[in-house]
Amino acid sequence: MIPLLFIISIVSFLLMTMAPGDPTAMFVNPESSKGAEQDLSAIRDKLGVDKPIYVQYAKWIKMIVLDGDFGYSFQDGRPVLEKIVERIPATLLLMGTAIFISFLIAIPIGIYSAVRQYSPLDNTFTFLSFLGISIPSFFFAIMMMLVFSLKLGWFPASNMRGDGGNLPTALDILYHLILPASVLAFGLVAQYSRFMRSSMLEVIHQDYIRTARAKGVTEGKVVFKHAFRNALLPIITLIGLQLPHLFGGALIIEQIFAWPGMGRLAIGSIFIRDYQVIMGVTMVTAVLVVIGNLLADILYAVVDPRIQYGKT
Amino acid sequence: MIKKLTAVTIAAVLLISLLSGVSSAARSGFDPKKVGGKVVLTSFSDAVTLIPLRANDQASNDIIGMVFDSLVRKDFYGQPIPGMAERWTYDAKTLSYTFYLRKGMKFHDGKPVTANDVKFSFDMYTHPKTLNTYKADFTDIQSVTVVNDLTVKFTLKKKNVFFLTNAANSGAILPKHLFPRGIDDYNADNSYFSRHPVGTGPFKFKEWRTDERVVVSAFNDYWNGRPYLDEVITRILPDNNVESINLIKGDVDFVQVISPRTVADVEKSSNLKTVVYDRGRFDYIGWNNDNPLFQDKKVRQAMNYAMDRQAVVSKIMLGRGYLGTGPFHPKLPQENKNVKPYPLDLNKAAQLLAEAGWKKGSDGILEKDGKKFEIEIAYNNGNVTRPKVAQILAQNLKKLGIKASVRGYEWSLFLDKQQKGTLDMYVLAWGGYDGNVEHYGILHSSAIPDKNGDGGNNAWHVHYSKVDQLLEAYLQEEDSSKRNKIYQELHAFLADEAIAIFTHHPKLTAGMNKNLLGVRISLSSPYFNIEDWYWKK
Amino acid sequence: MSQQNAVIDQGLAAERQTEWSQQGKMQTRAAAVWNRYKRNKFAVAGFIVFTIYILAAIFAPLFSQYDPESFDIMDADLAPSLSHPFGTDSMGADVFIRALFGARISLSVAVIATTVTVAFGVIYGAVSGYFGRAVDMIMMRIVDALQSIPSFFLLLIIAAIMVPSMWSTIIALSTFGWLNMARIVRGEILSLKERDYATAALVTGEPKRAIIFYHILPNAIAPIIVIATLDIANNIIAEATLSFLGLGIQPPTPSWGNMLSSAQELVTLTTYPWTALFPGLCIMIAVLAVNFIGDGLRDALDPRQKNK
Repeated sequence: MIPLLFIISIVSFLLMTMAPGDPTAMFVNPESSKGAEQDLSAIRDKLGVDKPIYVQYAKWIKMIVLDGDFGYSFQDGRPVLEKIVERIPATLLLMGTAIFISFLIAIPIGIYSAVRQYSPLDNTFTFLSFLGISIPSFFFAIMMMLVFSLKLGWFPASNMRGDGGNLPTALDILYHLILPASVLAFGLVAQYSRFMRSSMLEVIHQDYIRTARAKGVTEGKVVFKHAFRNALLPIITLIGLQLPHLFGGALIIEQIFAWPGMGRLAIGSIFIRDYQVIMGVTMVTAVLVVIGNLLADILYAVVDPRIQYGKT
Repeated sequence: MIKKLTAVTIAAVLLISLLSGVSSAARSGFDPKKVGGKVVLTSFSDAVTLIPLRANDQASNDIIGMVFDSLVRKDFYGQPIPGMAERWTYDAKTLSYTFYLRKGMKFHDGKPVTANDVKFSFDMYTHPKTLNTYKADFTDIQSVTVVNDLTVKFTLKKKNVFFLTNAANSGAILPKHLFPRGIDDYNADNSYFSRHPVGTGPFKFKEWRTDERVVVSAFNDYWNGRPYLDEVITRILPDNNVESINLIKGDVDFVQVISPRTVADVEKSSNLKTVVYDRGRFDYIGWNNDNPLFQDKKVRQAMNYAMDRQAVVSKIMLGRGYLGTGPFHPKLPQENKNVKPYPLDLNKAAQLLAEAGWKKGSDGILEKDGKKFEIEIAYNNGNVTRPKVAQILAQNLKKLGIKASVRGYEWSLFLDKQQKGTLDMYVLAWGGYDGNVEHYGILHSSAIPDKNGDGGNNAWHVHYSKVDQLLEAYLQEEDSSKRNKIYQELHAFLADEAIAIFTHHPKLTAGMNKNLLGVRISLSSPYFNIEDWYWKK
Repeated sequence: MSQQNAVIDQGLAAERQTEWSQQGKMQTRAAAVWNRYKRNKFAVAGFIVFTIYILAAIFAPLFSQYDPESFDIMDADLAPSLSHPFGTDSMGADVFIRALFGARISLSVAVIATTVTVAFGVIYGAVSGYFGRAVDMIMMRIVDALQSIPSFFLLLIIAAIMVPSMWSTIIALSTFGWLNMARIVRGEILSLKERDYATAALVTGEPKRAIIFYHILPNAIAPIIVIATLDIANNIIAEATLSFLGLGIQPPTPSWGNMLSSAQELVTLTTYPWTALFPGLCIMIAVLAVNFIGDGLRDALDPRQKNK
């Protein structure tokens, strides 16, 4: 796990410092008649960005290993970790809700589609789910915003909170959450239902299901007691696979709906070349994902008695 | 200047004495019935730091402007008027200003404001180690001394006719008691103060949620009476589109700039109104004047004759703008009315290019010394008008036999290249100035950036001794009408030299809730009188 | 972007296993696959649509009475008509011509990027899977490491590194696009190399390289084709998304992505919707078509479908 994080850090550090933009560009504002005379070389010196890449990296890795410190944002000088931590709840809330909604919808669809393979409804679901992965998410998000916020006025278009209407905080957040979470879920449902379908098909063709059928077990029981439980196993793997997205946030959706999460922080930092924050987001995400995958493995072992750890 | 200042001072004293009979905590015309309610504003980006003069971004400075106050304020036309100082005197012999503070002023935390706070603030701004972003405005200050609790004296190193409107106006007064470590606290990037500022302005800081909102609320003890609004909320929204959607939906009350094409959508809504206003800014297509292509004045003039300014104003800005002639807004006295915009005249342009030695090659492209005339016009991605402005020029250049293309760049890349002088041509704007405009920082030869983009903002590489002289003389001239004449001369010179294509000065359109009243937008700020905004009852 | 692949591959990985070991039946197998493919109507439709797209992209210059990069601001925002079948955009360019030339760029980007990722992913996966042990461990650790960063975040960083252009977009899509392919191929190889024909070849003293490329890889062709198809679909979407963030192909060069994203202005969507509608449809239909092809291929290449 440590070498893994090490690889990630080197790769992302290299990538970033190769970028053509200059991190001091954010300190210059060519559109304002104020603040024209800044000493950019002093800023570069302070940020250490004029040093060779390996010196910058050595300094950075030393800071992390020795002090457990991710450094400070170039932009506002706040500790990187603090900037990340304050955004994690918003991202987890948005992504968690979206993933939860999509499982709730996708699993029944997947089961139905597998059991009634090639039925008209299965074909409809197939078509819809392909549609779901065929629309660029930014376009879909903006269309939804136009319809549900602007035309119908049902939901707010931006941010996570309103401006002190009569709603209690939790309800207010929920009210703001619905639109972005649904937009995200739309794409996810498409993927998960396809996945559930093929996973279910896989199980249905297994011998023990045939045996169960042959023994005269009712169809409902076959589907839900035998097939469903086994088909759930890959779903756990899927949760593991989804972790990078869970933590990394849905960059585009957060950006469009002005959701104050990690994705927006990531995009913003890339645009202004705030290296320290980009590195921080990358590393924090990677660590969380590695831990998450480990948990998924353990959960898998608990659910599936055939797997025993220590053997592999 | 002394005469004028004295006049202002007398007027101020008169005003104060008139007011003092009424109440110390209410401005003239204060109407208690207008008090109440909150307004939601927008910003594209989150604030960075709320320590005055540490930030250079609009978002931070807008909030700082509401929370902090300074000795001198500016009126609608940019003239200095009493702020925290109820009056001041100037002694030309010793180059010193003496400011007399109002009695009984308080910081938002209840502590009284004294001359020590004023001295402390300017010590921070002029400290050798200071990270003050606008350091240049303060370099002429020699010393600040406390005369007594309410009197403070500034001594200058040399004459500075903009001292009142620059340093004394932008030097926000800091609470000394919240900076125990002095300059280290001022320079600290991540202090408690930087996210929980305490000032003396009309609004006090209330809440800052990263990437969501900054909230300020009315300060009841403000020396000029509390603002009418109870709260001002600034929401961080990603772009113009989303701003407009929120405005139309009613979740936002005021949007500074509605794009010309979107105005119709906003006006359709019965709850909204739009206000067209002037902003002290110029839009231009610039180039590096040291680029061999543009070293010939005739070529530069040809570029100007090839630009269809009228199309920009009528087709892109939909009529909301003035034709550009130079870096001075037509509403300012520094503008030279005799300078006419270059008309669209492709024949003239072709003739000038021919005179400059550019001949059409076999492929129809202009050539000189075996080199083809090929340029790229750059703009920053995400801006909806600039690609069109670039396109209009490119179309005409193509007709002249110049291989012109347009290209969008991501913002930080664009800035980097523009500052380093490596873009052929670029579409950009410069703004936020009022009657105190001075272009030393963008036109003086000493401000030409080096290859790394360091050393100044004269990215168009203008260097004429005449321009330098005019810029310097302007800063020394005390008589404002003579001063304006100097810039009028500069204006004419720059136009003839065709240092860039000055395309237009846009008129901007703000969109707001129909019931939001009292809004006045000055050349330099849309929030000029935000303490006087109020809701129709 | 690769998450969708990952999901579908899971199914694939579980489904493959059988049958592909019998070599020498390529002819009949291809026929059988085509027969099965034909039965899937969506897949056939997808194939036809995609062929039309490719033809349109190739022959785009034949249609152009307008230059895709020329604009006349005086003709901005014209509704669709005979002379401008898709209308004009806010810059006054013909949307139909731009969509045609956009197809060239967008499809080239997607196809070239996919070719690169397939080539690299297959080689990487094959080497890792065949050599196993320490080599495999190290190579897969690297893949693990890169896969634990959100893929779109990586894509953004790469795109931001370069001066945006068509080639920078291709490089951005390729640089980390091969991870999934490498993982799948490696799994394939791991299971295939234990088969009799592979061990037999080893015994006869054939070089390892030959064994990988002549004996093992051809048997792993089914999942490779399917994933490659889906990668094309993903890359079309990714190009559009990069353009939305201003990091993709730069206007005025037309790509579906930058056409769609420059049409996101509120007034355009409410008043001149065709500017957004046509590039949006182009992307959607192309991606749908490719996905249907992929789905059809998956079913057709899946031996169990024969029983039905």
